[in-house]
Amino acid sequence: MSYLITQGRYTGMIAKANNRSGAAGAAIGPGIVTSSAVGADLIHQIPVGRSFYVTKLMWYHALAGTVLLTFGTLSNAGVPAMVQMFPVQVALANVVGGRIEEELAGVEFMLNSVPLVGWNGNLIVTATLAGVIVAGVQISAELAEKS
Amino acid sequence: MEVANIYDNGPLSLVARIKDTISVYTAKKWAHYQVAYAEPWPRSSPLRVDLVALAGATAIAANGNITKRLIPILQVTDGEMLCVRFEPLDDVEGVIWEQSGTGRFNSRNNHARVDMASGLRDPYLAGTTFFIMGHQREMNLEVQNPNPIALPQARFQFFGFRYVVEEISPDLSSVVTQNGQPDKQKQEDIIRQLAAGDKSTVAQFIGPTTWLPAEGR
Repeated sequence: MSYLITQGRYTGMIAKANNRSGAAGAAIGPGIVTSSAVGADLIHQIPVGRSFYVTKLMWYHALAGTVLLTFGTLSNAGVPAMVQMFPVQVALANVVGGRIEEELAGVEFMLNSVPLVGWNGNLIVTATLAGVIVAGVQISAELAEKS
Repeated sequence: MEVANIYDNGPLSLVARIKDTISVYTAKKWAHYQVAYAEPWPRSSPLRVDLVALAGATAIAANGNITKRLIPILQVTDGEMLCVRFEPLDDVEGVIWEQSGTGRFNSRNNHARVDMASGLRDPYLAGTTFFIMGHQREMNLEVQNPNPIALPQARFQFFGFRYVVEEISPDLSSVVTQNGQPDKQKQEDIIRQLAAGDKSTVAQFIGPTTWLPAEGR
């Protein structure tokens, strides 16, 4: 993503204590999400009237194997489904991985209120290992909100 | 130092120099003062307030608000005037009221707010300029949280200039009847015109002045 896309907008570590594991999981910490076996772990909830770009992602895990991370948002379907926003990312065991702004596509997360086929614009992640959703992957995100 | 227009879109500057005259709309009338003293009010920790703490709360609720309340650090005495700009340090929106019931930055159907993005397009925060004049005419601040989560702090930073002003008594000695006696009726009319802010009357009896809105109108 071009730096110019986010330059001048409010950028900051999203540390507002709403990150959580699992679709209805309890908040676990302001700056980091640990993936759950439920999947669709909420990393950032979009404030009303705003949109945002992801400017940095970090991850780490110590699981036995390579984890695949799918970042996206949730559809408005009756049973919300992952709407993938970035290519799948590879997370090697015991190695801190990540993407910085220049490496990420300038995908703008925003509310699409069309029933069923739209999406809520929140940033979520699902971690899988050998096709199975796994818990225990630590993920942090930094964003630039636009308002 | 250059004297700014009151909402200049650059760094905040004096709106009047020492010994200049200002005409201020406050308490529903125009009053006329001479500036006796002016000094900067630098951006610093004493001019910072956390509305969550001020409200005795632990958080501002998700998409909630903290109702308008007096900001003690901005209280002044009679003869003092503040020209202040401000911004939130946390992701909240500030709504200004003066005289607690009169909104600033509002119109018939709207009441604008100052948020964290205000300073991005308006780096000197010129659009946040407001005035506070005298005792018991305090500013109240309401806070809105646009986030879908509760926030533990709602800090606001103020900075600007502080003025000490002295009220001007117009010289009405020249307002006399044909036989040289003070023309009480005309003098009262002039005083009423001065309070109404009549431009030509002010020019005649007060002189050149800078017009300031101390409160919303």
